[in-house]
Amino acid sequence: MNHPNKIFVIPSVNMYRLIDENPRILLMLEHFQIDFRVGELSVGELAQKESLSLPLFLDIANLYNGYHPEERRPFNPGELLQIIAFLTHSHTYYKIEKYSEIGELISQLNSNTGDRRVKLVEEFFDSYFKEVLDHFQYEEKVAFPYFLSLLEKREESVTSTFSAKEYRLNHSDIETKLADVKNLLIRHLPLENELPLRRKLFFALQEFEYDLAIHSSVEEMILMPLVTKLEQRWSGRK
Amino acid sequence: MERAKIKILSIEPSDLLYEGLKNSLLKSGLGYLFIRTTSLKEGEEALKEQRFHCVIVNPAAIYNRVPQLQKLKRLYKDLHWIALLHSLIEPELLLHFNTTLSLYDSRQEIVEKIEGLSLRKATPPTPKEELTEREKDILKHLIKGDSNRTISQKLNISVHTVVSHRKNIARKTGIKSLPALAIYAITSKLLPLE
Repeated sequence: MNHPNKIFVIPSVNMYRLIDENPRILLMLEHFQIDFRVGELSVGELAQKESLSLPLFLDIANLYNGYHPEERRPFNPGELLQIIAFLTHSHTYYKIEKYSEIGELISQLNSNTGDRRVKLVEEFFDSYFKEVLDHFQYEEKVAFPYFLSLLEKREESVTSTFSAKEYRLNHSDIETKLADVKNLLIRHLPLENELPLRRKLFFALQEFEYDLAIHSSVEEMILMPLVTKLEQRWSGRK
Repeated sequence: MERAKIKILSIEPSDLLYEGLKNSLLKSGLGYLFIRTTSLKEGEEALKEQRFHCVIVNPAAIYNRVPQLQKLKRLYKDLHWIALLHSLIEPELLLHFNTTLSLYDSRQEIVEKIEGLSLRKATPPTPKEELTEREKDILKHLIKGDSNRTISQKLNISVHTVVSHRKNIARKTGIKSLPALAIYAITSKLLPLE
């Protein structure tokens, strides 16, 4: 997920220039629910206009450009809602858009080639995506409410079944299996025709993989350290 | 097409030097993965668990520990050892390293040295690598649902060797999950399509 020659994003960078250089930044804007008509706004101005935390906006934009955030980010509990909104919107994008796009392309490849091995990959992808949906549901129903409860120290933060370890394991499994789908389709299935279809499938898988990797990085490098500090804050007050 | 990430083991007692090196390399925009240890002993443990392209060592961590360093170099022959120079170092000590980085090197110079070394004898997956007969045997057992221990007993090899073969299978095929490996086995005709 590192991309040579992408700029390191600072507040004065022109937003359009950033998008033009790396169009995948549009996905970031969508996940923040920001319209693409950015005019001549700089990154800092756009964050301010949208009432977003500038350090958060910069860190995520830099993740899209291949730069990891600092290990010790400033503690800002106010970012939690924005992070969770970003992650929830990206779930919607994966569920509604990417799943159907990739599923339809594999299904089309299956019907065009009649190759039973493609059918096996289709079944693998379907079963994989069911796991992905389960994981998202777990995040939305268990993990995110638990994180939000930490802002107010509500009762469920004590009784939550949330497990940070499980949370991390689920994630790495999701990325591993997506890489498996890509490797099977691109490297190992000995198909000779259907080039445009396979190209579209590769692009779709790569876009999904790219955004999912950033999604995981946001959770690992931005969300979890914040949650850990919130937990420490409450445990320190007991 | 971007290259595979270069995985670096850092043996660096100084927070300042480690952070500086890591940030400098990460901000190059190329792909690096860092694991940090603060002593040669910890570094040895990390090497047992993971594969690295290179080790960047603060020479202060190997004073009076040259025999241990030599042992590690014998054990991990493909690994590149890079000294991070921060003060005057005995020239004899530097003979144990493939190259050196200086505090005064530019980011570009550091990147070039690491890329040059790591990509020359690199270990990332290459598409042409094929599974050995032994790896194919192990793959067939895995797909049948055999555990590492069962495979080791059936093939009369250690569990450690089974694990090592499994890592090679994943590295060469790019596939890690069992259901996907089963499909791989069918596409490469190791198993019939039933």
